Amino acid sequence: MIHSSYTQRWTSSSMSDVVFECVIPYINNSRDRQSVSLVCRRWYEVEAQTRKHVMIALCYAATPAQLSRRFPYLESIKLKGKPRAAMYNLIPEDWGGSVTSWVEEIARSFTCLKVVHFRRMIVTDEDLQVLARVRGHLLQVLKLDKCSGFSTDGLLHICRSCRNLNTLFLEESQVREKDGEWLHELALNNTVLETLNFYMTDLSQVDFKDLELLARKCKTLVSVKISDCEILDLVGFFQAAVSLEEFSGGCFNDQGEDYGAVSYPSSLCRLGLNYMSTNEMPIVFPFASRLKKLDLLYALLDTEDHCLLLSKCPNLEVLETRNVIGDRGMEVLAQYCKKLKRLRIERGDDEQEMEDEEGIVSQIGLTAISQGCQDLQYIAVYVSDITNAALESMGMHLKNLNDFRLVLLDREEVITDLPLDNGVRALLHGCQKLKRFALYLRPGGLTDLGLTYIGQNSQNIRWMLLGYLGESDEGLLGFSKGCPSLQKLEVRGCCFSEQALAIAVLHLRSLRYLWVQGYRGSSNGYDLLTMARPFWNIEIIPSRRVLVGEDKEVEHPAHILAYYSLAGPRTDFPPSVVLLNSVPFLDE
Amino acid sequence: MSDSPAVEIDFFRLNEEASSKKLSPRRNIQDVISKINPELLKSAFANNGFVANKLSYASHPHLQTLPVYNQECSRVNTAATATPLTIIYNGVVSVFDVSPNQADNIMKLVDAVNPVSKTSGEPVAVKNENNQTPVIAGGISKDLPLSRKKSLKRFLEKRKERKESISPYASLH
Repeated sequence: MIHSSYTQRWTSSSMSDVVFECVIPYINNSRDRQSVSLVCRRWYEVEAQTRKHVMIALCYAATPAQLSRRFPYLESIKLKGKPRAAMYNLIPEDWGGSVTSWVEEIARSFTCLKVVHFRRMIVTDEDLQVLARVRGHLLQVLKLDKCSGFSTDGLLHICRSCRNLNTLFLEESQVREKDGEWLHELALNNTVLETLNFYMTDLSQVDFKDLELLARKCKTLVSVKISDCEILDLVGFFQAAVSLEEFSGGCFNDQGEDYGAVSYPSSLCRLGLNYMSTNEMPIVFPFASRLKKLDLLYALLDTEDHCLLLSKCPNLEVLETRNVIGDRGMEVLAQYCKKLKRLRIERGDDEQEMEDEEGIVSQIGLTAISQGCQDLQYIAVYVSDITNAALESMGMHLKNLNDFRLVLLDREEVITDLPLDNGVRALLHGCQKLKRFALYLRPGGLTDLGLTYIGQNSQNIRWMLLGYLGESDEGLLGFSKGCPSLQKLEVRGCCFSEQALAIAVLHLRSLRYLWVQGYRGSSNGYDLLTMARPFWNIEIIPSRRVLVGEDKEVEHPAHILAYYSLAGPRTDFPPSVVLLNSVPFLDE
Repeated sequence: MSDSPAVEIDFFRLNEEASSKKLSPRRNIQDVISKINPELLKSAFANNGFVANKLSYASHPHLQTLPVYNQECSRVNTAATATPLTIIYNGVVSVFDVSPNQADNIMKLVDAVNPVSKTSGEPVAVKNENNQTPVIAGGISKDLPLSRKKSLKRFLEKRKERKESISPYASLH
């Protein structure tokens, strides 16, 4: 910020302006910037002009024009579309979240934009073509994260025009595949790529030779995550990718071959080998001690395999796997992996024969982890059994925990120790740094008092998922008297009435986003309007029958989605979405 | 947020946008008000204090007190035989208190003009007597099994396919 002319007299306000303008570029935390922008008009303006990154948690919260008017010099944009529940197949595919109007604004106004991240949104080939044509020369990072609506033709535009791209991220996107040309173009045109990710896509026509070429040309290629591609075909790639630190994907198809002959880059420390089974596991042993991150979500290991492998990974910081790890595997983690920071344990197959019978996680594993891995910051776990004591232990030892998610599986009829009121209270009371919290139990899992405890002990929590908690509206109302920082609330399978939900919303002073599935509807469907207020959009996805498989239909209960928006009610909603306005008989 | 801000600064220039996009609520209200049942209107204005109370949760003191439909208002003042009639049209839900006769007339009108259709944008009028299940009822817990994450579901399906293609008759493990 250079001022070319100053008046002779420096008033104290112009002095502070200058100082502020020098300081503001160093303030990167969005919350700090938010506070700064509220001080006075001048600071608001300077902050707006120097803001580099904005994340809009729901793309309908503001219009593209509003964004560009306030922050014209943005270098990085992250937008999220569909509710998180879409990752669990709960949201209709045509719900919304199109990027088109945003891409149009990007083409029109955001002249400094280098980083684009769309999450759970609908992107078309035309959108990608526009992006490539208008911003292609500047674009450094493109993340199409769990998106859909585009094909490999759209990718082709990007790979041809964006020669400065250092990150291309497509993880879990649904891409219509026509050919593997896009990767070929990327390999031909790019020399600066650092991250390539088309993990969990079904892109199968990519040529591994293009991967090899890319690795040879891009000396800074650090992270590569691909779809299923035979590991033996990647020998050349691994030899060429000398800087590679992270690799996920691939698969092991050939039962007889010697996978041990494949040599991996010496700096490889983050790994996820899909369909790796007991036979192939030893290939990891030579460098297991270097491993910082291990993704076993899509591996074919049993409990014993986990125990063996994890005992060789003393530097492990991040582990993702299914509950086949078992309590025994958790105990091994607790014993050997003292540096563990993030642990995610997903739900394996329900069919008895498909997973190891030892493959369940319970209070035994959790207690071991709490005592052994005290650096833990993030834990997400599907348990088959639980006790208050396990939660108390976590509250006592895991002082660095900022994200806690626990789901109680519904297969066992009897759970050792319910309700979990005291354990949950102890956990929340002990883990003061918690910002995200999810608890998904069953009827009887947490009483109204327990739910009130949650409200009373979550000073800093910003996001919560409540699943089958509480017994009645009392619990929700008690809960809503607390949670001073709660911005985003998801509720599923609870028994609360529309009226209670609406009143709770009005109590939760930081709340800006609510999603509910499963609630007691009122006699005329109108009690929700108790929470009607300016800038608050209320939408409903009425209950619908969804085709599952060939001829089976499943009833999906209604959803409520409510959020603050500067853009007014949505205009692009599909037939499956109904808008509730605060004054229903005003014309739109 | 303070209770009475002295100055309203339109940072987001919303008033400009709002007026360009749609008619200002005040002008439009006149047209609409003339079509509303005068009984309802009387009750809404009479209970203005009550409406203001209901809205006091929201900290927007300069909110216009529009005649928001209010269930309590209607119960107090309208005829005892009036029941709620819910109409969903063009994505907007409206509820009116009408007598059974009026409701029947409206339903007949709708049936005559358009066949009743739930999925299209056509008007759908549903008569709600006392405790009938509402159009947009929420489901209760038992319909909500744990749903699986998409990525994992896909993997588990693929794994099954692999197992079956490699050794379709062998027992597992």
